[in-house]
Amino acid sequence: MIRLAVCGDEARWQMVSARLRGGSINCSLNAADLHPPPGTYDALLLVTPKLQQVGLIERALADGKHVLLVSPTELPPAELESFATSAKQAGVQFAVVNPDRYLPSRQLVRQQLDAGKLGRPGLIRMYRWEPTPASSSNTLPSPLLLDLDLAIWLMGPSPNSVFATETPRATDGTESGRTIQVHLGFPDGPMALLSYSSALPPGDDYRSLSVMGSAGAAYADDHQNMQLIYRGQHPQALRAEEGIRPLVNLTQDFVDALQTQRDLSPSLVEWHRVRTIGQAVEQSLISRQTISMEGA
Amino acid sequence: MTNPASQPTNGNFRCAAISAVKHDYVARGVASHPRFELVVVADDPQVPDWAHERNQQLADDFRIPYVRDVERALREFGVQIAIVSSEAERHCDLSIRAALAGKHVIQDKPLTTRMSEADRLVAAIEQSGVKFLMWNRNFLPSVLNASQRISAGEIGQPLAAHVDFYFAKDAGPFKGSRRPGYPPMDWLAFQLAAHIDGSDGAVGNEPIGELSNEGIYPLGYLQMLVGARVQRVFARSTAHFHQVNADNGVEDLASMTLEMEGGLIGSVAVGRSGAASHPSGGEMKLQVVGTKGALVVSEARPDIGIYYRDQPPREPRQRRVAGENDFLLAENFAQAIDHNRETILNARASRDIFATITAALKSCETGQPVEVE
Repeated sequence: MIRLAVCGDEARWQMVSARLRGGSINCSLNAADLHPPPGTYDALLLVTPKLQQVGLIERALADGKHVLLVSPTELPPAELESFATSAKQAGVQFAVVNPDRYLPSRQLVRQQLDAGKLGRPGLIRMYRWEPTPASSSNTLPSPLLLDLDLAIWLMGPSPNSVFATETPRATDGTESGRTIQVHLGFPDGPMALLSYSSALPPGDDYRSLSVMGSAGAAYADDHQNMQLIYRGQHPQALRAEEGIRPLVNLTQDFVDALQTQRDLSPSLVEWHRVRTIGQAVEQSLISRQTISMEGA
Repeated sequence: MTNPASQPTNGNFRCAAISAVKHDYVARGVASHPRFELVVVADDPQVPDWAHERNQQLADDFRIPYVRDVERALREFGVQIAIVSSEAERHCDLSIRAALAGKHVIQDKPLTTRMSEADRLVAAIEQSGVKFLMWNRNFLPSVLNASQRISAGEIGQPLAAHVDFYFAKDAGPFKGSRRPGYPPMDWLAFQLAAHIDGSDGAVGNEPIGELSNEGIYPLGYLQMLVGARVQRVFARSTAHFHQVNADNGVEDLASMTLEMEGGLIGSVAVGRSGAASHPSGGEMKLQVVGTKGALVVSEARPDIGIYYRDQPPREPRQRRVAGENDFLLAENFAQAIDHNRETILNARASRDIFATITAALKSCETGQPVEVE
């Protein structure tokens, strides 16, 4: 039984724990208890870790605990590399994951691709619109990094060209959304279009994924998963959510990997690859030119 | 100024189908409007026998003459309107001849295969004072509704607009399915053979990919929804699905990133993705982000589902209903003539769309973003 230490909504983690095989949530950390006793857990799992949690991660690795970081977009690559080195020295596993890979809808699409049912993917089309005003920095919005990862995970090879453009941003310092279009080219012709916007008004986000394969296609679109509620005037659309399954799936995969001693180190290599492509997107936004990824 | 010779008599328009070898649905769509009457089919005498056969078929269906002389048909049948649906490479030439004869023109897509022809068409239309309509899908109920909502300011000022436009149709053997050593598939021969089951694409001597052939539709949507001219385009394309496209070096899958006037951005994905890729003709969506909200629109709606035992595999499971695209396009054309207004997709706008596609194809070759002329 793998004993996990986690951080965040305790009730939610208990729901995850109830669904785990071979693992349990033993230790739910909070602000007052950031350093669990080493004997109480085997592995640390942090979702969207903050810079303030670097010490917690370092101590866990030093204590010989496995570590999984989910969506570590706020941590610099050098920090992640340092964690990997510490993990290697301690003989434990260190991994990073994109939680979107564990959405049941996205997993099903990947399974169909792996089974060859859709043929070779030719075009991956993704939309992610959010209500979150972006910061004024030039850093790529974190969700776009996750989308880049998902596109490459589904496509297989790395892109060999990157082009990106965005709507002009407010110059008066006011917070406004960013609306970005990313266009990836892959060897031998396939392509991906990623449309990101943080300009939505407060409320739900919108996500859509379609994969056009040589033998078939898959569509995972929020638009198709809306329920209606009538309360006078126009009905409102409510998304049929995928619930807690993504968190359960990724936690179970981590537990399984630890129990079977599956090497998780490639996850960091893939994450670095995504960061590199993210940098190319930033370069393209500035230069307004195509960035070649040949040999990158 | 509208050409007086091209005014209707008794409020109705007499129409000549000037070649109906590509699609006869344009002529049939126009003729479905009570103010439009198809009175003659015509084409040049030197067109091949298969073209004469298709023209004759349409004439027989409408019980009207087929005249192997375009100028005579335009001159002697009292027509005000020419409906052009020839091979793509002849589109502009026929439309220009009709315009110079003082006839209003409704033309099938694509506009042309050459930029010089597009420019020549715009000049001829504007100099002749006749109206031009590129047949399009802008009056589908969902598209019209989206346009009205955007115009009413419901999502604020548009920031980005995207269109997915996939035709879930086959086009002969799948790419890679033929044995090595087989000769390349002949484009025209394939299109002619495929006409029987409706799986033909851009019939003509010049092979045309999906971006060239179908790009008018999604770009027409963007033109109507956000009204901003495309200034710069980055595109990728590939022959991903069909051997006939691969053998003839034209795409069946393409994507464009667009930079438009006023800082708008957008994208378009087009493809002929194979019948297996969708249960009902293809995924077609419009997605627009504005300063105050966003729209996600399925082009196919309203539709209903019909499923039954022994249903033919190729019969759509979702059936569109309440569409008035043909009538509304014809009505738009009639109103443009009546009131000397521009049509929903006139020659200049069509030329700009063709210029965008031309830039996109160049971008596909160079791998770089290209300015739209």
